[in-house]
Amino acid sequence: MSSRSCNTKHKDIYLPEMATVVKAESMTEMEYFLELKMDSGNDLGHMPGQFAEISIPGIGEAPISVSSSPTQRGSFEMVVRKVGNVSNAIHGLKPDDKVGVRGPYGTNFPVEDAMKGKDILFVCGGIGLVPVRSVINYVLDNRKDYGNVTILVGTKSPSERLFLDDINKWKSRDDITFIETVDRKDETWTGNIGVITTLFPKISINPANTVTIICGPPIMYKFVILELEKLGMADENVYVSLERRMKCGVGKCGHCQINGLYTCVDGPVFRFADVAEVREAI
Amino acid sequence: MLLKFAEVAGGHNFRKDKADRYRHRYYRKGKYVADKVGRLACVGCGRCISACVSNIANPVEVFNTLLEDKQ
Repeated sequence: MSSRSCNTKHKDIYLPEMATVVKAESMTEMEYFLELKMDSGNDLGHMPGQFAEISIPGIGEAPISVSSSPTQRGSFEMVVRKVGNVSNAIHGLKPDDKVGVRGPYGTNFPVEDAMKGKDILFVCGGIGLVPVRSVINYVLDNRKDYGNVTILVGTKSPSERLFLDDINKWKSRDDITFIETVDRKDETWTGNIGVITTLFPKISINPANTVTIICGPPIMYKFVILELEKLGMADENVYVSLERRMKCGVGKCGHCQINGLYTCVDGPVFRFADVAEVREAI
Repeated sequence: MLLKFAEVAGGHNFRKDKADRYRHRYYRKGKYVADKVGRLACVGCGRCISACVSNIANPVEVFNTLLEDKQ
């Protein structure tokens, strides 16, 4: 044996572990749902807001948000939008197929510290709901640890809505406030119409005791933060999950840099106060 | 300097302007990584020098000028 293969202390950060697809199905035209189980039998061990690198042999690797709460044991879930080589290949996965997994990586929403005991306001646009669903379900599974919970979800059109089972569960609970809107309605839609900021007049929150979680398309942050400022919310109590094109996931390659910050290790979850003045961040 | 380098899903581009991408190249090779590991991240491959006909992208000149200005 060479000294290299005996060296178990230095785990190769680029070496994926294998996982098996438990469940795979289309969620919308563009989004594909995956439930994965690590072949080691262990949990992924993530916290809400983190991501993992998913690889398909012969195709490549892509960073994907974990969408299930760590309170769900034994398997984890992801939702992938069809945008490139790897995500297109992921859309072809079937149960029992194998994928490589590296991670979990990145920062998480502060469910165990800054959020504890506080009222929580979730603001999610489009596939921003994918990572935030992990936080919402974590909070709901530990409901007594948090104050009032308000969830705002905006989607482009009714046919692009995600996690309908979860949404129905959230809607039916009387210990949280759930409001949804779509930008453009169709003949099936009877709910709110308009961008997500049109929901703000409908909610009542106590800005001094609230932590806000935002995830959505880049354009959304600016306008949601304006609404939060109107309410008097401090930047310190706002957490954003930012998207950048990542490659290595471990702070080496620099593809996901926001100036000197690496989205993969300093993020993807940032406290808004820490990035408000950073060029190119929001 | 590639346009799509900082593009994300949905088409938003965080460095749409050439000036932003040029700025980022120098900060990235000369500041962000340098601050982290203690030396310049430019390996001197020379591809940018041969690709730039107007010779504004020669990292040797850029970094030396910046350094001299600082002194």
